[in-house]
Amino acid sequence: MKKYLTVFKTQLQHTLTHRADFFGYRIANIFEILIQIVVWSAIFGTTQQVGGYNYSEMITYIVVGRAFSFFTANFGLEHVIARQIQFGELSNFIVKPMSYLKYLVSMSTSRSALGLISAIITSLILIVIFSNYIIAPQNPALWLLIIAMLILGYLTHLFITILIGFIAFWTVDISGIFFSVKALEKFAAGVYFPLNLLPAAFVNFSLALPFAYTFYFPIQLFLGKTTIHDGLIGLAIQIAWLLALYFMIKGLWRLGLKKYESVGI
Amino acid sequence: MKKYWSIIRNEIQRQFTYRIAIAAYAFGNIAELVALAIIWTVVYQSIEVVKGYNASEMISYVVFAWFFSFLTTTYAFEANVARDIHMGTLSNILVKPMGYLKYMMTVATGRIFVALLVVLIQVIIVFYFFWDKLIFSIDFPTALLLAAMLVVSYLINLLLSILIGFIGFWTAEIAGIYLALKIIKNFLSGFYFPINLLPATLVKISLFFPFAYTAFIPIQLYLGKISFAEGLRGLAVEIVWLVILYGIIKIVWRFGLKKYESVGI
Repeated sequence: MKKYLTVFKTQLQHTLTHRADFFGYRIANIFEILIQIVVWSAIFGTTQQVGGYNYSEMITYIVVGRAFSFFTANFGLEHVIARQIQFGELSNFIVKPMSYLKYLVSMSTSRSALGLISAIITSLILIVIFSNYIIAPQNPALWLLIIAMLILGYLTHLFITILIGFIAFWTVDISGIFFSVKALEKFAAGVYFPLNLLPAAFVNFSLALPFAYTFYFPIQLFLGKTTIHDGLIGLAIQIAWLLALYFMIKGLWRLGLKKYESVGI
Repeated sequence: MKKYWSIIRNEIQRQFTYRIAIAAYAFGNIAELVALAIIWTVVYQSIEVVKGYNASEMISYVVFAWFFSFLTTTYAFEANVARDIHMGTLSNILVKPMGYLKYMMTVATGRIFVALLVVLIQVIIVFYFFWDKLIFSIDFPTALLLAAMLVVSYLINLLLSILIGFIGFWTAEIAGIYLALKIIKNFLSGFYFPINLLPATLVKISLFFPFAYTAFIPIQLYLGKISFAEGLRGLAVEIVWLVILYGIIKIVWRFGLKKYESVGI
């Protein structure tokens, strides 16, 4: 356990070295939220309801949703993994008495810890600014369920990211693939807009995939648009996906390692 | 002139080497447009007009904003500029019998070729899907003015990229800063939404910056929301900004070169 703690601490220092860069990302995030708020404010200037959401619910969707996506983010870990594969750094890990997957989880958790602190600050500022519009659930059981979903959501994202990162075993040109996969993931998770603006068939389809459970689904719980009972079913689906992803990683890791040539060492 | 042509040819060949990687960006590039188109389609089911835009004007706005911005983008050329500085490859350019700015502008222009082909294919698909919602009506002088605005927009974007890339003279980690500047730029240029959805004072402020003239004003001209004379005024503002940016680049370049240490050579 202690060795993973060391990985955690080292990574924390690494991130703090590049704090200006880090700050840049947060500014970008705030503007992304502003873009959505401007668009929806203009729309709700002429109507009361869109797709079953009133103005407060939509603002909550955007602001609280953004906080959720910070909690579950791993800040471009796929590029770190790809770099380690392509520059041969992976060899360092293979000879260490530590599993690469566990290393990745502890390293990423450290990267995210700092992201989390800055995310909490950004989210708090936004929540204070829009406090008149934010709707929060009262039921403590609901909060517990949402927190559980977010922790699992973090792991789901992390596992998907690791899977994507492993593409680097097979091809060198990855940034385009990464970019597109991430965008599609955001789309299917409901980051751009609430999924139920789309036809029911699409919503059902996306609820069969893991992505919606990292964003759209917890917010529906938060807004009280989904019952706790349905929420528990969602949690079960999330756990099933997490297990499936874990085995996919194990399988892909074995195949990838056969391809791995330690180029760059 | 011939030497510039060779540079462009080299770059085009280089881009064709990475054709799959470049094409892979296409799915992600279009995700935001699809999201915006869905939001507006849903919204206009219950509303006639939002801030003076009817349904086909708004769909045309987001589609053409997307199209124009991908016609005039430099595809993160700032990263190339910064990489040259960080890796010391800038020294290669310094010893060439050609000005840095001219050289880089030629490289950038050759570099966008494959991406441009991809965008043209994408836009045909997008036009096909939104055909009955898009507005196609433009007279010859307006088309000419629009083309001129887009060319100047490209040059503005290019000079901005180079200027942002020069941050690399002073700091090593830049991705976060780039992202922040890019999103702010998209916000002010009206890439995601017509900037007149913003409060009137913000619209006035954004018209002092060059960004609005690279997306918002050309589309307003295309949609016939501003007159030909106002379009000409926009072009004049663009040209003034181009000259200003050129001056700033010259100055920053001189300071940056003093800091440059040719690390990596």
